[in-house]
Amino acid sequence: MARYGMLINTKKCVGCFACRTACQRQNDLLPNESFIKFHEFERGTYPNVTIEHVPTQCMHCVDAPCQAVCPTGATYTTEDGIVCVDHGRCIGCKYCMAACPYGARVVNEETGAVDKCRFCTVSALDGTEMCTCVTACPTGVRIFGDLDDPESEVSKQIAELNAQPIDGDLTEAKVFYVR
Amino acid sequence: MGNPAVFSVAAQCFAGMDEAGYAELTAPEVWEGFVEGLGASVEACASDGRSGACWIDALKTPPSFADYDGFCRCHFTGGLPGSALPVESLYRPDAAPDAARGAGYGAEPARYMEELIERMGFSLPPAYRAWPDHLALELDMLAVLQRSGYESEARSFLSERFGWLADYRRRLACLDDPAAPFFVALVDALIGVAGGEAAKAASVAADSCASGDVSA
Amino acid sequence: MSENAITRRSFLAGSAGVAALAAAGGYMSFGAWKQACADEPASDEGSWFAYSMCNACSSKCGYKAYVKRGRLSKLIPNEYDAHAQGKICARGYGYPAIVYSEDRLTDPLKKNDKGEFEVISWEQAYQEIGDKVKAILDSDGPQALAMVQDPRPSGAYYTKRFMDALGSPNFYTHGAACNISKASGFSQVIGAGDFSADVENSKMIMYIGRSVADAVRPAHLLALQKAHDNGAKVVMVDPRCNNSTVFADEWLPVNPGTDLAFLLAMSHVLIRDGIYDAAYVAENVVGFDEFAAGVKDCTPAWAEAICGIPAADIERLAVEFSQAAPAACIDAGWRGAFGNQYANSGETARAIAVFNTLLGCWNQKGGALFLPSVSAGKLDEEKFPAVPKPEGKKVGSEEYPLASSSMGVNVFAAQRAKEGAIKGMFFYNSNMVAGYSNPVYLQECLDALDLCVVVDIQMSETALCADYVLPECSFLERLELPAFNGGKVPSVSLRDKVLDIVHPNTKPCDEIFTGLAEACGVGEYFPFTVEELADAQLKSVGLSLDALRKVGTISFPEKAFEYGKAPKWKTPSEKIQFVSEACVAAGYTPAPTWVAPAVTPAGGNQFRLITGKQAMHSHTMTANCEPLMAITQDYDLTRIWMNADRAEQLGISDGDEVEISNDQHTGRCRVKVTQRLNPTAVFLPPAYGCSSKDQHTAYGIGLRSTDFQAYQLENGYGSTMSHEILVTVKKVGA
Repeated sequence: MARYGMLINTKKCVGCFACRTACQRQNDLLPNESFIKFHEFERGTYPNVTIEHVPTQCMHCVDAPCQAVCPTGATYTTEDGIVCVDHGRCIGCKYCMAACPYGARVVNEETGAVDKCRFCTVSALDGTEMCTCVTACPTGVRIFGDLDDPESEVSKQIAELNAQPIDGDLTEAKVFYVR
Repeated sequence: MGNPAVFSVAAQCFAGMDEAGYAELTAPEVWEGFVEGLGASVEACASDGRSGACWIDALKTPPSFADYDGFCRCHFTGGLPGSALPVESLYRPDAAPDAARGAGYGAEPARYMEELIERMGFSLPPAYRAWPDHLALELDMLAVLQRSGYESEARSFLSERFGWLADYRRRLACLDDPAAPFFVALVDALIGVAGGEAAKAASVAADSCASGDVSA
Repeated sequence: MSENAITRRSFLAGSAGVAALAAAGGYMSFGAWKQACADEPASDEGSWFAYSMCNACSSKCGYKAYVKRGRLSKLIPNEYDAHAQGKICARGYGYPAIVYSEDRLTDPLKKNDKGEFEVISWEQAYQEIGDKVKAILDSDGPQALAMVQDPRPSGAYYTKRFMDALGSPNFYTHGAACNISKASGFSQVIGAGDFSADVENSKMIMYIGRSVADAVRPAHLLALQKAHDNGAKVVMVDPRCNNSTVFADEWLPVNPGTDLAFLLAMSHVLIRDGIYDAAYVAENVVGFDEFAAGVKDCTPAWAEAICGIPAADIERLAVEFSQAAPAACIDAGWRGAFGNQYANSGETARAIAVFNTLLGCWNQKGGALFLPSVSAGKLDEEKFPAVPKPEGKKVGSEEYPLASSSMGVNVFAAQRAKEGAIKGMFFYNSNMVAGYSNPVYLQECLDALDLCVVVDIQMSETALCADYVLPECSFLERLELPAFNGGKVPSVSLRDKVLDIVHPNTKPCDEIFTGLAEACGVGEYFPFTVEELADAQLKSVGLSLDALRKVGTISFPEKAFEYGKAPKWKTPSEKIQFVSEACVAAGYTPAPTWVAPAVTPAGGNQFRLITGKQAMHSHTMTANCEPLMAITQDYDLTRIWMNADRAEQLGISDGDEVEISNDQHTGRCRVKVTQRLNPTAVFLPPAYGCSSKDQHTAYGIGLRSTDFQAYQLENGYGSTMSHEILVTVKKVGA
């Protein structure tokens, strides 16, 4: 059993959207259905400007608020701490969308199900062994792994870079940010 | 439901034909039987007792081959403003009138039809590789199911497969083409046969299309 | 209705009209089928793959494409591909959606008397085009025909061979609207149209108008990040604070069109202080003294007044460059700043080549490199007969003598059509009308043609002007010729056929041009298939098509680059030429000196309109692709950028709708008020403003910079000067 989480280092992010379209292609999402959202910040005044791109997605919270309000049990958490959606049980009531403080849940317009990042740890014929966004990112913004394993790359980097949840203890998030 | 011959003739109309084939199909003895048969099918299926009077006149005299062929050349091709390919994947099912336009070629209906054709022991004709969910094949499948004695399967297929025709009719009704009224009428009749829900959606659709509505 | 032979006709069941009674299981309702699909565990069972290359931009990154149940599924970037290096960009993952687009052209089309397109057969299309080509050849000769194409592996070969076979020299790339000034300016100095900065080993690298994070080629972005991580000094010279500045130490928001002044002043400092590589210059350069004399007065203070970069920074950067040299250079750029933007773009390119020479960095570790590539050797002449080289000069080569001869001035060929000299034009993978220069003017040019043939997969603005539109299958549905890529270790990559042809009446470009050649009476030069040619090309370098198919990319380690080797300068003097007779003949000074841009904004509500790249689009190529346009829509990325101070002066707030106007065009869009832009310019994102209604996703979204651009060409070099645009901007309703 593991406790999966992710590190997102925004200092390396150039806001290129590769993670978004890669996620859509590999997970067979609709063109306007994106599990990743982008926030752009510009700081300073011309010509002394810096920019920051912050991608957000499902934080795979412990005691996820979206799961708590789900009336059908469509949203559930696996033993490994991944918050999942059973599409067959989702009735499209959108309570989860209202409950998620990160705006991470998105409607699939074809099926009506309310979906989200799956921490798609696909290990398949094609050799994919990591979440799509992690492998797709050209600049290595993302690291995925077991937060309970102190030797995992993600744990080591979180410690070294003092990565923090995006919004303090709003929820017990398992995605950590370097900003 | 309807008569397999009716569905087969309708299928051929949407497939595009050469001049000889069109002449055979529209010869009075065949065509009159078709219009009559179609009328009877609609009559039998009409849930609200509505008759097919509004479309039947437009079908009685099929377009000249030049008009028919011109229509096929300008509208049964992809990528143009006048494109009106009768391919299910490109249209909305009537259950979801607010949904975005169709998903592009090869969406779920196409994958289903491709698999069904294979399951039934047929092979997909090469010209239909991009669109196994072409109206010509869907109507053909319906006729084949009937002729082969799969009566309940044919009913299931009819109820599941033609919901997109209301959206397709909307498309056809907006075309400025001498043969457009003919195809609109044909689709109206098919909507009538497919019955119930589709017919209601179609009447809403008919009202919403301001221009070129031939049956109004 | 009774059944007979006619009514029983079935597309599925033949004349019998009954089910063959499936061995496989018979009827299944849609509902049951959907449930079965949903219940099936996700797995890769039954999937297979082929190696292909992206087509969303000209980088053509290699990837492994998986197919499941006949449909494209995953893409895995090829680690060994020269441009991908294991990554592809947002366009790479998003662009394949075009394969199933409802806007795909499905049949050959001919414009009828009413000006509408209608389906014709391939036979009829070939016959009629062939007849018209022959008529033009009879009346006006091969000089009256022209071809414009944006190079792709098969396209570049087949279109060139087709024109050669017809005897016409009028073969053009998209270059005049992309990188012609850069390639042509470099050529005058170093005899080569391009070089590669050794970014990952650099101690100091400067990008001028190039953003590898916005116009992504993964290999370039990875190299920048590596340089940054290694502690290299990275300087970004760009009116816009582009996304690559994440990895830069400095952003210099140069006044657009004045990079040349900045370069001359940095050169001035190197020479004034004697901190250039004098030994290297003495050994390799002709015309140094003339250049030195020319920049004597180009002081940093002089440059500051023009380019807006403080004199102290210019001084400092020149010194830093000299300290980092030879592991330092100015990057070769691509399109931005000196590819085709300004009246001084070609001269700016010359100045960059000169500056890098002063650093003595050519072929030095961390400097600027000429990387080797491999090309196909000699082929069997029986099977692949040589085509005689066309006589005569390419149209435009006399009027624009500095223009790279391999690119040519494409829009000038269109101008000559309007003037009646060119009668027939072909376009392959090119949307000249929307993308190259003023669309209204270019449309008039094409309307004047006797014959206009466009090969494309959707109705581009250029295709709308055509007499015949021939539908190509998409890039994933065809095998192309091998792509030989230069690099430290040169390599070859393959675009193999991944999917069966989706629309049966579309064809790959090799078949289309072979068919056209036959119809035009020159079929004897095309007696081979693309497989045969690809295999022969690969065998000529010791490989085979089968071998390349298995791995996607193969490298040539025996041809690897070695640092320190002196390049052979392919200039008239066989040295690096700070002076050029050709430039003098074209009206420039012997060595590059200051040339002002064609227009200068007056201030107030007037701005220069500039454009550039966003990471998820490639000009008009990707705008009609749903997953990519969805990003534009989600983040309102069609907004025009305006400097915050200027916006405040004009009473414009972020998100306001503004009217942008000049003597060419007026249009409206929303504003992004930002600190990230030079105050003299507004930045209009590219790729938008599609005016072809047949492109349902792209049509009518955003504005198009070419609409504001007058048809005008850069002296001598022939670029379209895409940033020599002045516009006034006012808030709508104010």
